[in-house]
Amino acid sequence: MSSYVINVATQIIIQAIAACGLNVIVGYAGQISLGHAAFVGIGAYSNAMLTTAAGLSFWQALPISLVIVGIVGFLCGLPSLRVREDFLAITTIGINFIVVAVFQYTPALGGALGIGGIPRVRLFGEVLKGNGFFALCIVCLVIVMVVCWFFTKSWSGLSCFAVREEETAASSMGVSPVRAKLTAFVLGTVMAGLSGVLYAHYMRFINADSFSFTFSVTLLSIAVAGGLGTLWGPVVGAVVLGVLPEIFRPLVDYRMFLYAALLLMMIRFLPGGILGGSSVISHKKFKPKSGETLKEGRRS
Amino acid sequence: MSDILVSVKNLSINFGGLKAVDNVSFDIHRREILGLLGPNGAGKTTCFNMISGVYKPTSGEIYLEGRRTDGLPPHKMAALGVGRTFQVVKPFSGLTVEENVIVALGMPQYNSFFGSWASWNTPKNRTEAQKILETVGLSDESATRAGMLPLGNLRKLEIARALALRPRLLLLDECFSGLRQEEIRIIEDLIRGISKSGVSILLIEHNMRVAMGLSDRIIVLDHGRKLAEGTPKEVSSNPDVIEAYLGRGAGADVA
Amino acid sequence: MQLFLEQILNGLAAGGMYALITLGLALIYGVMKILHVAHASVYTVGAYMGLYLFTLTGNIFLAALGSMAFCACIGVLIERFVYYPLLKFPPYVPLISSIAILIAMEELCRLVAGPEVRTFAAKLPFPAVTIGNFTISSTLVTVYCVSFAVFILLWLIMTKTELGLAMRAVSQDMEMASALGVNTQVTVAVTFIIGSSIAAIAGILVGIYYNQVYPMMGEVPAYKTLALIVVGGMGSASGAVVASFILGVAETFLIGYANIPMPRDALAFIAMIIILMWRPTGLMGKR
Repeated sequence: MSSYVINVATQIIIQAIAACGLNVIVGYAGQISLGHAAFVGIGAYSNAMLTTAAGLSFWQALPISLVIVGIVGFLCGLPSLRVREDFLAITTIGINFIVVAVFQYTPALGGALGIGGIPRVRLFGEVLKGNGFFALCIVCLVIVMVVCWFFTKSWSGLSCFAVREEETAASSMGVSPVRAKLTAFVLGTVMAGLSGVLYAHYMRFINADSFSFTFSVTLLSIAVAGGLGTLWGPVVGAVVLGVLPEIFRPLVDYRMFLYAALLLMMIRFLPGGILGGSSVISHKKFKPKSGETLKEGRRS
Repeated sequence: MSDILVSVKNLSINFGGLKAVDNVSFDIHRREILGLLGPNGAGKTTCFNMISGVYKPTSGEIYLEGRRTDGLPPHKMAALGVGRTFQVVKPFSGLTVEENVIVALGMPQYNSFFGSWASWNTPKNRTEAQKILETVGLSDESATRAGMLPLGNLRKLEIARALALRPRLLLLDECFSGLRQEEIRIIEDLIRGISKSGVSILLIEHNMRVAMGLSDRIIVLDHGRKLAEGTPKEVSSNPDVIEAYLGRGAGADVA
Repeated sequence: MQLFLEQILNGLAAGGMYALITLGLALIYGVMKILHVAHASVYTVGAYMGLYLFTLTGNIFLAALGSMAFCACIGVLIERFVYYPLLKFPPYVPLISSIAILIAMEELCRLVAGPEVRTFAAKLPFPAVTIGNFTISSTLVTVYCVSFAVFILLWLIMTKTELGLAMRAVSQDMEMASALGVNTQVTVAVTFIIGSSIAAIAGILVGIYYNQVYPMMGEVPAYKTLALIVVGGMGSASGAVVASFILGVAETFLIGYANIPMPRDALAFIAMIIILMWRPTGLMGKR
């Protein structure tokens, strides 16, 4: 396969992995996350630092990076998931901006110049590049999807679905909403971290700009376009939204406009995504009636 | 083992200056059906919400079999055997009827680390869910998406989910509202059956005939305070109660 | 001392301009519970339209009115054709559509008007004010007067008119308001008209004040204003104004004095998170 195709395909798979994580948070647990790119970035920077400054190999650094992302995800999730839906959207945007600012302004992390010279991945002495690296990404995607599939079959996953549909009812049936949301959040951010690790070793150079809020929006668009809450949705979304800009590439100047216009059309007429059609789980208009919010009474 | 399952003592709650419930005390006995009545805004659902853990009372205590439970969150109350339905039905619309019930069956697993990763889609769980659905008369709809059900069936589903918790206490919040006569009769029988099986029931209901017919005892609230307590007969001839529902002067006429 | 006063005046001007953009956002959120991120692109279009009409007519008032009318139309079109049909879906659906609109409109501005930064040199009707040996420039005076006028006008509408009552009712409980006879669809549409018009004014003011109009000018306020409505208390217009002024002054001082090596965007969000931890419903939120 031509190296152009492999390049595009690799990037699509890397984005699909991050989108799978976002699908767990938004699709399975119903929590809005508009800062997912931040966790991709944390995974990327973590592995980049460990393999350059600390001299670890890719395989040694990988589990450490995933744990780091998981911990940060947990710490971010803890306060965020207690706030109301709309607050959560904005809080996650804030997390994205703050994390990117940390990347940009911390000299130890390379500051505005980022981190370069990230080594390639070696497997049994062989360097993985091109097709080899692409295969590694596919394996990771498969692992991630298997984890997602297991999650939907577990009580933990079911509790997330219940919280997504009707949080108050779920809690009156023994589900701790905070625990469910937090589990989904940590799982989702760790997947984002894996995506970031692969990204770092693919680009071999990273800086703060790659993980900005714009990327979070792209990831959410991928997850929504493919169909939230479905298993293959993130993959389908990543393929469609990864191929489109390439098709529009000749129309250089109009590219972004067409992309945005298409996204608008898609979300307007197929809010459930390609795999979900227009039958998204219908959501009663978000209006906390006094006397029905969980949080209100507890405050008094 | 004492006869009293739940003891509510001097329960009060303030919402920003408004005293929604003011110094209410009552007991719920084992195996009894206790009706909680009162005009709109009397504080009935608020009491429910405090017993089931949705609200934390400003003052007062709630005891479940001698153990203090006020302030515990709803999921812990569920684990202690308190099940409830909601006045505005809250089905898990995207899940099937059977899955809705299975969610409640999972109550013991959710807080255990290893339990929560076990699979829920087992034949054992499906059979148990089917049994419960049969009790409420929904086994034909077990594969239907809950979002598609009409109100009558949704109310049955609410009860089914609460039953799946194997509760000691069942809180029913206006479970007859919006139903036709035939549907009401079906649910009345269902509730009597549940009570016979040993579950205590606290029910809020506006339909007087149903409330009087089902309840062993009745508590009437008005403006957040307890107005009367007694058998249906005692309460229905209580002039204060009549006045609360029908207005001043009506009580004097009856007395 | 001179510098300090200048910073305060600049900060208040920045706050006023933030407030004008955020007000529309807060009103729209209040009434429709949608995060109208695309509002920032309405603001950008307002600046461009104002510049275009001013170049055409030479009259800043006509330009402003024309721009307000144009933006009001855009706002209503967005509401009717995009948001309204998506209301029954989970909130991230209209949010993504809003972001898509933001990008599409910014790109449209770039394609139509060109990517270069244009200047907006308008002859302002307000004179410079001199107190002692301290002069407040004509631009600053304009910003103050216009912002103030808008706040007063809006306050009058919200508290003294039936429309204002309807808007407040709908933002508290749409179903209830509708049951009481309020025409919610019209109320929402009018809210968009008001909000978008104010955004147009904000765009023109910012264009004149910084003498810059460019396609990406909406990116700066787009997400900061979200933080501002959270801090102000979701849906509280007065909270949004207060939060905007605090941010305007704080940003100006921090950049001017302290030279903190932090991007200004992150500042707003950090402040937001800190305030949320102290007061979870925002400065003036009710719930």
